[in-house]
Amino acid sequence: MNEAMEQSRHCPSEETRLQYVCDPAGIAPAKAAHISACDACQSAIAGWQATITSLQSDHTDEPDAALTTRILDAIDSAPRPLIIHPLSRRGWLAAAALLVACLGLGIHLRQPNAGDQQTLETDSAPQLVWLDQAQSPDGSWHPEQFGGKSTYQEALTGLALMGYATASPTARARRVNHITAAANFLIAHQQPDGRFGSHSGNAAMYNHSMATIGLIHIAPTTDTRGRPRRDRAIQLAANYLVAEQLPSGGWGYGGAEEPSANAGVTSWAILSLIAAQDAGASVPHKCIAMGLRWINAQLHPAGTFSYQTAQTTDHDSSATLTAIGALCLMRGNVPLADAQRTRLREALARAVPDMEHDLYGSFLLKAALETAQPPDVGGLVVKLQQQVAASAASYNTDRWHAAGGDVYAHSLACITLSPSGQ
Amino acid sequence: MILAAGGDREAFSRIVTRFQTQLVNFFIHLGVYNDAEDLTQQTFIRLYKYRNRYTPSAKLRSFLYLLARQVRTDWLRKQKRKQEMKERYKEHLSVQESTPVHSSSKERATRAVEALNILSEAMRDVVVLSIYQGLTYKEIGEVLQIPEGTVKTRVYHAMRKLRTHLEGQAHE
Repeated sequence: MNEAMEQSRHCPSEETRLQYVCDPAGIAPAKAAHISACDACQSAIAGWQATITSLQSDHTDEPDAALTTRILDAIDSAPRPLIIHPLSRRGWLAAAALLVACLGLGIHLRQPNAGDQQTLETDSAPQLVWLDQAQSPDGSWHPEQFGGKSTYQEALTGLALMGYATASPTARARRVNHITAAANFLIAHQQPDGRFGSHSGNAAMYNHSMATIGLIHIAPTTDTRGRPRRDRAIQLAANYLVAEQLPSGGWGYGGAEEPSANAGVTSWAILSLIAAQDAGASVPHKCIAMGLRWINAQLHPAGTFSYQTAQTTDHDSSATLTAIGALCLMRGNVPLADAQRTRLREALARAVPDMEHDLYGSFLLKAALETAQPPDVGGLVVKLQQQVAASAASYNTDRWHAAGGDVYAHSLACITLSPSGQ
Repeated sequence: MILAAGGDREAFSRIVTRFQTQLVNFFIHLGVYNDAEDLTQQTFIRLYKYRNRYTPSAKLRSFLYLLARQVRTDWLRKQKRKQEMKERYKEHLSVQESTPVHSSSKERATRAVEALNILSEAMRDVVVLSIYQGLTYKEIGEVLQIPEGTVKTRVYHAMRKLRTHLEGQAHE
């Protein structure tokens, strides 16, 4: 009792309690610490929160869909300043330099298809048509409308773009409007720090990496007018990943706020950075090298990967992580001993039968197999594609369907069923 | 914004996409119903016009709301002039001109927005910027050009008034 009375004597004013709700960052840390631990303050805060919730209960008005166009048209018809500012000139020079760099490097986003492989020529057109029809007017795919979680909207829009990127040039050309709309959605949802989407928690880095790779993969397909804008978005996305890298070299679920790295998120981050670099973005060499070192350290002597525990006895390997970890090492040209490379290839080959009802694993494994080139790679890929084709009638039994829904399933089926090397 | 200031239309288009919904709702919460989108458009035109005056040290959001408030002040002045004109010449007008009420304006004037009507202009501004637009007290101070301490006091008094009003409504 005395303790409670003693505590309440030091309570901040009601104004400060309200500020704790409206602008918590503006409160002195000592006062914030008191409020969070004091029952009387918490009770007062609950009252303010109830008032605010009741005030915010109204829906947010969405402006007319044509408002952006109206505004930009009005701006275009506004008189232009005649003075060219030095900053403006620098901006254009930077954009021109980036464009020249992209052209010089060639926007080559994929590894060339090594070797003559026999693969199943499965038709992915039904999945493409499904994606066309399921796209929302805002250019994205809303996973919650198709059995998935809304928190993965950016990731799934990125995966859908990867699906389109594997289509034939004619099929892609027919879908240029779909592709451009999806790219515009992602760019519009890029935060000032470069992150795609605004979700925190486990979805954050997956959203960012998948959106980044999706945007990179379709960059050559989309119209040249929007290219500088997309290149800038890709550079910003790479900058965000660089900023979120942990001192260990890896990445965690929620970026730098997550103290421990894991193999899944780190691999996606590395693959995004390599793709961004190939697309002409500036990425510090050290950042990719540190990431690859971290991933390499997770490689178990058996040639497998788990989330974190490479060297411990309870190494709980997963075929999916083995696939993406291997893909990372290969794409990053990490030098491996012959024995290590052989074990990695064997682990990939062993993983194929485990991928029934796992479109995500199949997609990564196909990419890893094509890059690692184990013996009989053609046969292994055919087997993988047969499994994916057979699962088309029962996507909802897939292990990740609860998170990604049908958007995930159709996008990954598109990629995996496309001819090898796409 | 630096790119937009340099004349980059795409960069400017991103700013428009990012802030347009917030601005439309900002105007609605300040009591501008039918003209919210027009005022949003005018705010962006003003931002484009003054883009070279923007200094990177100032937050774009604060700068944008500063312009939005100016746009609204101009709009209020025009409305007042219109009203005065109507009053002055109403006996000469054969047909009374009525203000058209857009169907959605009725929907927009919902309970919470109506509750804001009990506040003075100064108090309504801080509540809208804090509760609906999510600005920090420091940013609100920048937009309204008042000290942060004044923002804190105004938000408190305004919220106390709203709380009493809402509790009264709940008991009716």
